[in-house]
Amino acid sequence: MKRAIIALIFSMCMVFAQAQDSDNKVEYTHSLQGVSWVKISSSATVTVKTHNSSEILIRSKKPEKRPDKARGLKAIYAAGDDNTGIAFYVQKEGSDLIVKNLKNGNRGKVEIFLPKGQNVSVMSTGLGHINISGFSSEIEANSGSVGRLSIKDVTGPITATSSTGDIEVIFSSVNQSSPISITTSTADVDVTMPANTRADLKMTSSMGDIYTNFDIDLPKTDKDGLKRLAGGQKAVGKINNGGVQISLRSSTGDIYLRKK
Amino acid sequence: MKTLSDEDLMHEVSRGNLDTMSFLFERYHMRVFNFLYKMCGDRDLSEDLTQDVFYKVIKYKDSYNGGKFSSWVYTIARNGLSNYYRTRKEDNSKLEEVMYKLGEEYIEEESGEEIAHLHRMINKLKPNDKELLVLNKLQGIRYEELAEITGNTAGAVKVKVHRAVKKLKEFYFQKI
Amino acid sequence: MDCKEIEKYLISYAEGVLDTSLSTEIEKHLTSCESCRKELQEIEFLFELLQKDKEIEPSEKLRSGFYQMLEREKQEQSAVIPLQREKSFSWKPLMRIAATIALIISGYYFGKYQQNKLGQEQLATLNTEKQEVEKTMMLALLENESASKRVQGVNYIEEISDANTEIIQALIKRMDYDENINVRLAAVEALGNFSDSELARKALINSLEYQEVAEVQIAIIQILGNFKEQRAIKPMEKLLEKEDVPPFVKDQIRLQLPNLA
Repeated sequence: MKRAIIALIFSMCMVFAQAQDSDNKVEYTHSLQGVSWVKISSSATVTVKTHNSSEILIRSKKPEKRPDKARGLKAIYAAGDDNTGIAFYVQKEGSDLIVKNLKNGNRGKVEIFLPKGQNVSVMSTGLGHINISGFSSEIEANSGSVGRLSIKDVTGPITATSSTGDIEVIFSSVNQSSPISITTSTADVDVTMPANTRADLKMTSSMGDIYTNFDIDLPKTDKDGLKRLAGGQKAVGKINNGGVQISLRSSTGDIYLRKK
Repeated sequence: MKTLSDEDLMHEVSRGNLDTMSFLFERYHMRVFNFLYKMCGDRDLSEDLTQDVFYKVIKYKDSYNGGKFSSWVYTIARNGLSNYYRTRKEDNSKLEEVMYKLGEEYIEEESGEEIAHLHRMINKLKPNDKELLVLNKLQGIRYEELAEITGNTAGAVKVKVHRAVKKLKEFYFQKI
Repeated sequence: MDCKEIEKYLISYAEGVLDTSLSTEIEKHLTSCESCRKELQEIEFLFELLQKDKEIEPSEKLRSGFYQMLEREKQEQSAVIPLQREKSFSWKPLMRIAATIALIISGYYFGKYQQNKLGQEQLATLNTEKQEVEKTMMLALLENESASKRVQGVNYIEEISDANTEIIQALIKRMDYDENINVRLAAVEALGNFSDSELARKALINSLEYQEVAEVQIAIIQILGNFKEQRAIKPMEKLLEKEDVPPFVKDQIRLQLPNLA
C-alpha cells in the first residue's frame, strides 16, 4: 500500500514536471511569403534548425513572471518593440524578415525553425553561441565577440565570422555556385567536407598552423594524422581539380580541413 | 493552360498578360457571384459587384503578392460589398433592413419552402455571422482560408461559425 | 462528460472533424441521452439543408460585361506599354550581357584551342568586349544582397590585372563599408594586388585607422608591409599606442614595421 502511494505520488510529480516543462515554452510563427532573407540577431545562444513548414517558428522560454508592480505597464527593450508577445521583434522589411531577440543576457536559449531552403543570417549581439544545422541555402553568421559558431549538415554558400569563439563547419556536400568564406581572429577554424569536394582553397593563418588530410601538394608535418601545411602563412591550392572558392582564415588560431 | 494553378495564372496577369484573366474569371465568377448574391440577395447588384471584383483584380494586379488567389479574390469581394453598404448607410437606410428586404428577392427564386425558410433565417443573422456561415457552409471555404480572408485565427473563425450555426438553429426550429 | 460539455462538441461532431476517442465518447453519450440526440438531429438536419442550397447562375450579362471590360483594359494597356518598357528597361542590357558572357565564354575557349585560326584582330575585339562585360558583371556582383556573391565579385576582380579607377573605388567601398567581415577581407586582399595604384594605397592607409575588426586590421597591416608603404608607419605606431587593439594585432605591426623603415 505504502509503495503504491509512493508510486502514485511519484507519477503525479512526473506529470507535473512534464506539464511545467511544456508550460515554460512559448512559440511564435510568422509567414515567410516574399521573404528572401531571414535576419536573426540575438544576444542569447540561438539554435537555428530546419523544419517542414513554410513558416518561421520561434520557440523560446516563457518570460519570467513579471513583478506585480509592472501590472498594466509594458516592458521596454533597447533593441526594439516586442511585437510578438514573446520578447521578440519580428518585422518584414522589404524582402528581409528581421528577427530580434529582445532579451539581454544569455538566459533562456532560443530555437528557431525555418524551411530548409531559406537564406538565413544570424548575428550574436552578446555572449551567446550560434548553432545552425540542416540548410541547403545561403548562410551568413557572425558570432560576435566571444560566441562559438557551429554549422552542421549544410551545403553553403557560407560567410561566417567569429572573434574569439571557435568555428566548426560540417558540410554534407559543397554547393559550387558561390564562394565560402570563414574568418576568425583568435579561434580555430575546423571544417569537414566530403573527400570528393572540388574547390579552390585559400587558407590563411598569420600565427597559427594549417592542417589537412586533403591532397594538396605542400610540405608535411604530422599532428593528429593531418598534414601540416604551413605556419604563419598562406596555403593556396586546388583539391579534386579545383572548383568553388573556399577561404579559411584565422589570425592566431589554427585551421583544420578534414575529409568526411 | 487549364492545369496551371490560380497563382500561376495571376502571376501571368500581373506580368501584363491580361488574356490569362479569362481563365481566372471562368474559375471564380460563379463563386464570387453566389457569395455576393447570398449576402445581399440582389441579383443585379451582385452581378455588378462581381464584375467590379474582376476589374479590381486587373487594376491592382501589380500589388498581387503571390498569396493564395482565392483568399485575395474573396477579400476584394468582401471589401466591395461593405463599401457598397457603407454608401447605402449614408442614405439613411439601416443595414439589416436593406439586407432583409433584398433577401426576399433571392428567396422567391428558390425552389422549396424549406430552403426559402432557411434563407429567411440566415438573413436574420448578424451580418458578420451570416457572412461566415455563407462562406463556410454554403461555399465550402475551410476555416484556415477563412482565417486568411477575415484576418482572424482559424480557431477564432471556428468558434464564430459554430456560434452562427447555433443561432441559425434556434431561428430555424423555433422557436421564433 | 455531461450534456453541457457534449453539446459543445456536437457541431464539430456533425462536421466530422473530431478525433476518434472524442467521437466514441460522444456516441456513447448519445445512446443514453435523448435531449443531446435531438440536438444533434437538428444540427444534422440543418447541415443537410445547407448542403441542398444550390449555386445560382448569374445572367449572361456578367460574362459579356467581363469580356468587354477585359478588352477595354487590354487596349488601355497597349496604350501605356511604351512607358512601361522604358521603366523596366534595365533588365534588357542585363540579358544582353548574359548572352554576351555565354558567347564570350564559348568564344574564349574556342579561341584558346583554335588560336591559329582566329585572326589577331578578332581576338582583340573579343578581349575588350570580354573585359567590358566582366567589369559590368563584377560591379553588379559587388552590390548583390548575398555576401557570398559579393565575395565572388571581389575575387573576380583579383583575377584581372588592369582594373580601372571605377573598379578600385568599388573595392574600397567594400573594404570600408560592407557589413560582412568576409567581404571586407576579400576586398582588402584584392586591393593588395594593386600596388601600382596610388588610390588603392591611400585607401588602405586610411582604412587602417577606422577598421575595428582584428582580422581586417591584420590583413591591411600585412599588405602595407608588402607594399613597403612608408606612409603607413605613423598610423601603425598610433595603433600600437591604442589600448583596445588586441596584442596579436600589435605583434603583426611590430613584425611589419622593420620592413617599412
